[in-house]
Amino acid sequence: MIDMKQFKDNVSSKIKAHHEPEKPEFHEKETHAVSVKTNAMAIGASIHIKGDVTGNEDLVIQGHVEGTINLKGHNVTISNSAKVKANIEANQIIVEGELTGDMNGDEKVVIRATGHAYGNIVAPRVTLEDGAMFKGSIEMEPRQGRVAGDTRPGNITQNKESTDLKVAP
Amino acid sequence: MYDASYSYIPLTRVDQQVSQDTGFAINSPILFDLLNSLSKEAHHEILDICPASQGVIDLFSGYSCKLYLPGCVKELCEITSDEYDTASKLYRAFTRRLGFYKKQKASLNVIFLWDLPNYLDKQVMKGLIDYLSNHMHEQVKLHFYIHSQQHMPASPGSYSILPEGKVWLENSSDTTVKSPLYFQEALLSLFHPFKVKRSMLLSSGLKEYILEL
Repeated sequence: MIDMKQFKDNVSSKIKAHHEPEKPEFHEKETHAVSVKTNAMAIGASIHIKGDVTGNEDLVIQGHVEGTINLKGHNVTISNSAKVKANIEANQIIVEGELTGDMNGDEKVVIRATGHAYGNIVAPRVTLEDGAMFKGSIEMEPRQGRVAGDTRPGNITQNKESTDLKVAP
Repeated sequence: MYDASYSYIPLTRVDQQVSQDTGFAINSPILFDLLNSLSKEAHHEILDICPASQGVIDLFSGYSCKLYLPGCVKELCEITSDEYDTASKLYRAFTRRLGFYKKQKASLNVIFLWDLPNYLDKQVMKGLIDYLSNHMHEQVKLHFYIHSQQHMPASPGSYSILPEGKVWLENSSDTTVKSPLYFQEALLSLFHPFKVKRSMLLSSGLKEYILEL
């Protein structure tokens, strides 16, 4: 079992990098629907972890993790460079790199355009960005009311038989 | 766990309504009748063999459901009855591609095969139905399209359900091959023990089917 508070001391240099306000990396993320806290704990690109990761803060993974990740109530971001083989429990799970494992997101799971995810998702909301790769299953409960911009029709009607529509380029 | 060694088709762009020469929207009346018939109170288990798309996820986000998205069309088309010549070999091949294991038994009540039946070897198609029958609900509905013209694209198209009640069809190949031109009787032998619930010829040349037990 890896406790993130202990682990934090060992990768302090990586943490500092993410605390520096002039670093633009996480500010860029704020343009996305899901914001990532700038004070997230980080597992650096050269770090390999085998075991269980638990803790009480947000986590950004840039390296390799094999095992389980349990950060109930917090967010986990799997960065572009990351390769993760783990089942994850968190509030929001954002996949930008490669993940093999099940994702249990209390709030939502987002697979970004660069993300490759293989596993089963349980979450009330799931977003696959353009170009995202996902294979597995998604278990959803109905949303309690429409979110803004949700264009899904309540009841889809289509009566025209044999009238295919060509969309103009 | 899933095998990462395969290529993928970025399908989700169709949900952003990007117009392309290779794709077009079609009406699919039987599909939308099926979708409208799904109860919002009941739990559904749905298999969509096309690559995962936001359109399908959004569509089913209003339901209590489990969506299976194995994205294995290309891999299924590579199965031949020469190479996989026994029931057990076929079973293993389907398990590897679809990810249903005995211990993870599903109870599928909706299956979207899109135009895959046109491209599968007959024995493989029968084997697929046999395999899926272990994971079907007794009231399962099977939806697919059959090409009714002499020629069809050389590989299965990519399909996604659009929010405004249409299906986006993107042909993945400019070249064509001879269609199997399945008629209903031949189809029913492939899909035994299913029966045709509804079928309709669309102006695109696709014949839309929904089967049930």
